[in-house]
Amino acid sequence: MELLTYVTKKLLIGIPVIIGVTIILFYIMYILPGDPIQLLLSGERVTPERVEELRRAWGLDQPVYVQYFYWLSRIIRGDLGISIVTKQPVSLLILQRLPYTLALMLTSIILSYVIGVLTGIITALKRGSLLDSILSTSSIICYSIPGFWFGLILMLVFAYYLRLLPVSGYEGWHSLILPALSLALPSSAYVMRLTRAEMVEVLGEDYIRTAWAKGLNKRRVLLVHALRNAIIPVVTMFFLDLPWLMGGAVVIETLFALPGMGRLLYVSILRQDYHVVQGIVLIITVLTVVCNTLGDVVIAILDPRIRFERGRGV
Amino acid sequence: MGDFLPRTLLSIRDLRVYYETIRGYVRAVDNVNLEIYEGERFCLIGETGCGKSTLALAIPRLLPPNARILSGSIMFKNIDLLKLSDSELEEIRGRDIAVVFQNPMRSLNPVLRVGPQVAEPLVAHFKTTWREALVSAIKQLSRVGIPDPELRSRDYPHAFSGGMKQRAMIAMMTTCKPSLLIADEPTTALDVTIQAQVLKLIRELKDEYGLTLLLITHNFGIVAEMCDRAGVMYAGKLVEVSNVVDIFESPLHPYTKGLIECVVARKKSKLRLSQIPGAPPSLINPPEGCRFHPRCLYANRKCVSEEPQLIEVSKGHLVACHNYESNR
Amino acid sequence: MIRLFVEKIKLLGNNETFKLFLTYKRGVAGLILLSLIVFLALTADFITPKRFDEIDPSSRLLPPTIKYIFGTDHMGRDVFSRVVYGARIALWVGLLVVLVEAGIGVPLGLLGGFYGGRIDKFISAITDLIWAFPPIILALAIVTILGPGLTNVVIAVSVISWAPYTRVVRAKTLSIVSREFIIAARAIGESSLSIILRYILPNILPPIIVLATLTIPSAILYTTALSFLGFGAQPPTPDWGLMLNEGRDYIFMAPWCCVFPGLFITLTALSFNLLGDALREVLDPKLRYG
Repeated sequence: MELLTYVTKKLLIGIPVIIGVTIILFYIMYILPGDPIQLLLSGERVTPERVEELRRAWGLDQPVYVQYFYWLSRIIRGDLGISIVTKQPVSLLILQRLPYTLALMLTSIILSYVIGVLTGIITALKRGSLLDSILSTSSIICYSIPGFWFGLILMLVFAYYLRLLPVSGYEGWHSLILPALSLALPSSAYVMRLTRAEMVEVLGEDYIRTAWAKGLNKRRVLLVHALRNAIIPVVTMFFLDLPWLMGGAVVIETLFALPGMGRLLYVSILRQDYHVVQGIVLIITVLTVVCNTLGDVVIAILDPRIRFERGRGV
Repeated sequence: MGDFLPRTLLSIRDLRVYYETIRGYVRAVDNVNLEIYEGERFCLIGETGCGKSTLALAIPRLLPPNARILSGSIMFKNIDLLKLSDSELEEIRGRDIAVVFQNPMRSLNPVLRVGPQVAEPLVAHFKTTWREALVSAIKQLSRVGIPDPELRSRDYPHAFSGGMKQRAMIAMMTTCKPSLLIADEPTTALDVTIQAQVLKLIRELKDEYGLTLLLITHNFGIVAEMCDRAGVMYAGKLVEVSNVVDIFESPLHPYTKGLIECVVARKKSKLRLSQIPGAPPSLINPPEGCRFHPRCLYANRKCVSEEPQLIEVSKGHLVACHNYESNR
Repeated sequence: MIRLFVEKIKLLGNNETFKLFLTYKRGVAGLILLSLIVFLALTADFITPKRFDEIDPSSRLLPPTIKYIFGTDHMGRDVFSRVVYGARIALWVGLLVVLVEAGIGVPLGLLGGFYGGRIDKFISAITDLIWAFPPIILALAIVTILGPGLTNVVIAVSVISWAPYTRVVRAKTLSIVSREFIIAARAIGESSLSIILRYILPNILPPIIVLATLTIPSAILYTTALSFLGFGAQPPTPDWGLMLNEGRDYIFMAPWCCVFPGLFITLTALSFNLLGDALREVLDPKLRYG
């Protein structure tokens, strides 16, 4: 039962956060310079009366909070407005692009965590060995490399020189390999360090000694007792990494010209297509809150101590 | 107590265990010889840092990673434990030799329920099914005095109090009915009221399962209550071994005498609390000759240069001192 | 009070600590690498053959030769000279970001830890909120509102990264504040400001120094990323990120335009990471005797 109350609490906190962000978002949009009507008409010759008419039709003559509520009600119904530049519905634009971004994020986080956790466990077990030294130093190098430069180098080597993979654009699943590697590189290095540190710490704990004292075989002690504890902070990190990846996707999608949401955001900012920007930021906020809440829930399932000690974290 | 010769269960010969540290080798157990007989209750006493835990944990080889067993043999049922491979040792641990550790708070896995943790050794050693093992585990939890064992078996360790955790540990370690139970200061971390209960439990289980008990402690009260024979350790060496009565009434080693005088009320009342002057030596660079000589009131030139061997000076009473006769 | 600070610094430069640091090969390597880069930045005027904005249309996109060690870019500028001047910008920007983010994060952490209660909850909530949001996107949002340019990038990156400072300072402050000598000091009537300055500040310095060293690389990586997207430094500034942006169009025919600037971003970040890693192990007593 404690689990359910814990989850509900977390969900309830998320809602005011989302509302708070919508208010902030809306207000920022509101005070941004530039008359939306002019932007919409851009270039067309219109009479001042026509402008006033449009203004009233769009509700722009109303006070701020009224406009906010109109906007909010539209958002909830899924209407994110119209792109100023392409005149298409924002929600449609986003829905078209979202799958590519999600595919990229998924691929890179799986890559990063599989490699990171495995190397982390290996270096923890072989602590102090040559392999450990090499991998540890490599990991520091890996998270010092800027992802976008790494992507350029990968592009150069694999797409241009070796002609193994496409340079840019989406031509199928293999188009995601280089971008996913670029995103995964720094992340996997951090995951490796965290896993290693946690495994080393857990292996020194008394309950592991108890497990050895019971005569359990090595595999059981390492997996069922040690890893089961060490993995908890790694899982926390997993859910915190997802929002980070959303940001990284902006850079990588732009670099590799992938038709994803990140690139759309970048392009829209450049073109001052603020409705699109607003819509994407909103979606990202919702996704971030979902990720965080999901993360909290998963951790509560994995670590019974969290549900027991209210307020105190891992 | 009949006069039959008890069988030796555990025979430790020339054991040397050092810890590798940045500052050098810590000579925690330095050439120790000890015999433990089947069915007895043996106490290993000494101050903190004298090497008693190291000696005890060397038996199932549960020492920290920087420990090095440099020489010696530990014969258990005709097998030298030190020569066993890891997988061979796995079979003995938990089944023939069990250990109850000092700090119950951290000795249970916090993310697994208590029931499965208690049941684990059964599954590992006797290949029972989990269902059967859990049933046995619940029975064992009940045996060690945990109320509502079925409900409690589904709890996580954080829901248990310190005393209950230690009982669960004892349950865990005795489900396979081991021959030797090593208890490393099992009650030191517990409340005084709980201590007596846990000790009583250990005594009962010892009688019920017919196991041999090796108890590590620094508390002479526990020694008096729990043990038949006792060994006193100082600075990595065993300095006196005898039955409990002799240790208390006629200790031969100056260190033992000093310890007894510190804690045991004498018939003649003393106005001052006695204490042993000085402090235990560094184990990286222990004193030459007898390690106790810097603090010993009876030390002479021989004590500084020649290390005393542990010799049997009367039936069942061993002591490592050059001057044991003169300070009787 | 200054004397206390000097004493603390002397403690850091103390023989034992320094000797211990020297045993960390990676840390020493980082320090050497960093010194090289700082050297480059300081002597840029003397060691570069050309100025960073010297255009030469006849020498466009030349591969690395003796004359142009790193080749030339699409405007005929010497890549080597630009990279060396870029070191100045990178280090300067990194330092600025750390100063600003510490300037925000440390006081917030102090306030939260010292006063506790609602103030603490409020500060923690805001900090956690900003930290949870995708950093690059938040930075983009700030830069969009404020406009492009390095100054605004510094602000944006500082905003997204102050959270670690607040967390660390808050945790340390909480642990100190609960101790008895603080209660004693208050009982004597010592002012809050004095308590903060005399007891708390000297103790939070070591973790802040370690944190600063470790957050400079991320500051450099974020600022160059924003410049890469075009929102940071503007041409003809020899910012490494901007150079990657400009060189991107010519990556296949003139890869040196991208390879070298990015390489130097990596080396700079690496030097701070190596150094910071070693510093953390040296200054954190818990880890030392592990």
